[in-house]
Amino acid sequence: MKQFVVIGLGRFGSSIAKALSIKKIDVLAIDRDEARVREMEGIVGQTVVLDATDEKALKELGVADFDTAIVSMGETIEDSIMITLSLKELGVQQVIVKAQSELHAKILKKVGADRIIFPEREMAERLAESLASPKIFDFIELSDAYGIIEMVLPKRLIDKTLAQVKLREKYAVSVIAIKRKVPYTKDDGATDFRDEILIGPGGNDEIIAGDVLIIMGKNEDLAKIQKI
Amino acid sequence: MSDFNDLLEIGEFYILSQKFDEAIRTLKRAEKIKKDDARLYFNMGMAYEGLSSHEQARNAYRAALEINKEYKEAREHLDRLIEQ
Repeated sequence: MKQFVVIGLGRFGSSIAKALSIKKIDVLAIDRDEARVREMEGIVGQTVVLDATDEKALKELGVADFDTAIVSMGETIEDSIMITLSLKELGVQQVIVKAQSELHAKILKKVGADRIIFPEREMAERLAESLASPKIFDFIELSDAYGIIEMVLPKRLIDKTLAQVKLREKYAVSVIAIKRKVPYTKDDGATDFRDEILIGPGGNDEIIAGDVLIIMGKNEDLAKIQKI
Repeated sequence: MSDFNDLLEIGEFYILSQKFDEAIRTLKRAEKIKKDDARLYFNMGMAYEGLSSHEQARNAYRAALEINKEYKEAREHLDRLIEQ
């Protein structure tokens, strides 16, 4: 079975370590900050308080036996460069490093990083991609796993009731509200829209053309429903 | 010409009745008769906005404003959609 070592337990490092552990992957989590390490105790297989820039300490810990190392040092770019160099010299097969900038990424590649990641940028790009879809108006992240999207449904699902479109059964998501533009005539005779929001719609509520559905669910299910 | 005005009015009626698809169909027929009418494009913008087709709505409002820069409602609707 694959073994991972995660070095640096900031927001990104700790999320990765947790996610890997949930997938039943053996994880060793390292940080020089004792409080951060303590937070991971019981969540991942092993935890160690250690300054990973100390190559000797890394060697004694036996990191060479790990298949993959993930380096996520937030504070200084020098630290992640030093650690990457040490890990490659110790013979870790795959070293994945979080980069802060293009220049940082370039240096990391030079010292042997196998893969560079820009988590903030990748998240932003993913979000931008979903927002660029004409069907998706907004995405609100509730947690790492859950979110809310605002979307319009394709034509074939219009003029049907919520019970008929079966979003809950098919995609395990909940429609928490429906936003509808209702036309009306203003005092001066011009036509305008008034926003109407139907909170907690029921199975008998019908979806009409132009309705924006506010849907809550797991991010993976929300991703699926966008391709509906 | 009266055909054009009739179609425009029918389009507005469809918008008020929340039949946005029919409104667009009618307004497109009107467009074949006359292309330089700001109210036509404003109404088309309204119909697309009603359908939550924001990009098409924005394009229609822009077309209305190209014909009539002073079209206050078209400007307001466009600004609202850009903010979103």
